Amino acid sequence: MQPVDDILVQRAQQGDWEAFAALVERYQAKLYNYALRMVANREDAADITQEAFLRAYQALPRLRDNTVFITWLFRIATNILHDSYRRQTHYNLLMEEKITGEADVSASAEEQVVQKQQHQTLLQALAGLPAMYREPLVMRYISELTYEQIGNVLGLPIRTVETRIYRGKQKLRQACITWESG
Amino acid sequence: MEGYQQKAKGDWLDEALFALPKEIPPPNLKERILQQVTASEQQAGYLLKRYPLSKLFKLSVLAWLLLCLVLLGGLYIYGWYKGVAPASFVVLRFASFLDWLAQVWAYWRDLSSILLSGWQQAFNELQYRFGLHLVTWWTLWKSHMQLIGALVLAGSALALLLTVVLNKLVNRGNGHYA
Repeated sequence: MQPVDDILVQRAQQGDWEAFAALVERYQAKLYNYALRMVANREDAADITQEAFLRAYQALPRLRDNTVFITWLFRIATNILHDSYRRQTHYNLLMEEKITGEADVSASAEEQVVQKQQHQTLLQALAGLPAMYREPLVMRYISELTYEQIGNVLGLPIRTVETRIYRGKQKLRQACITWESG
Repeated sequence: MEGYQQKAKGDWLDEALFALPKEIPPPNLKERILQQVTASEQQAGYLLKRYPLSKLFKLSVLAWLLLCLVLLGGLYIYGWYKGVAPASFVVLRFASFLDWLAQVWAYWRDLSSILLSGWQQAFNELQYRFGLHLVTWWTLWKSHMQLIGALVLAGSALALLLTVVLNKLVNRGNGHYA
């Protein structure tokens, strides 16, 4: 965790609006992408990001350890996601949606098409995973959290996080191969 | 297309996962968040949302203590104004309050016994025993007022201490807000 976070959180706790805005600017993309890969709907992902920041702001005075802000924020978002899961039985997967990520500009047009197809396959396989595997995988590879941070977010020991990511990747491999051969 | 089956021999999955496209959030997301936070501050329930309950609780306990202090102080000053020794005035006022309470209780007890006189014997007996029980307590209370006062104070102090300790325990690690 960078010390700048520590300072920003401290300032935000003292009521510095600019500091809170800077924290939003800093983490909105990570949180939005996490939510997006969990709910597979852009509008819901934006709503969850918004709700997570709102709850974080309201609970900011209670955050005693400023260095854990990002894991705390992700835990809030995860709890919102779990609440949403309880409220609605399933989410629509991103099957029919167009993947809008940026392609590698240095690659040729054909390579870009291939790359997009691979991304599509992988994202669909990811969306089909159970939440217990998808959560740590998305946090690791999309939001780029460390294993320790993921453990703190999910309240799990690091060994369990490693196991879930390993098993999740195994399932992804199988799913990708099945998609390809099918 | 270079397929996944060919790639499966190496550790292609890590690379592929890290290379997954990260979407740019909607351009107005930050504004939406900040607007919602501002709006939430203006809501009527803002105080409860913004400040943790434990702080509110502490504040209310302090306010309650302050109120008691002000009442006692008022009584003390009123006693002084009336020309009675202030401390004994407070004690006398409290004693007369207890007497009044006893009278009210006796009135309702008598009334209830009259009302209940036509009821079954067992119920009357029960009520009589209950009344006796209370009378016993009242006698004890009158004869051991200092001891009971000390016990009440000690009990209140213990309750306050327990509240503070429990509050600390519950909020330890500021864990489970969301």
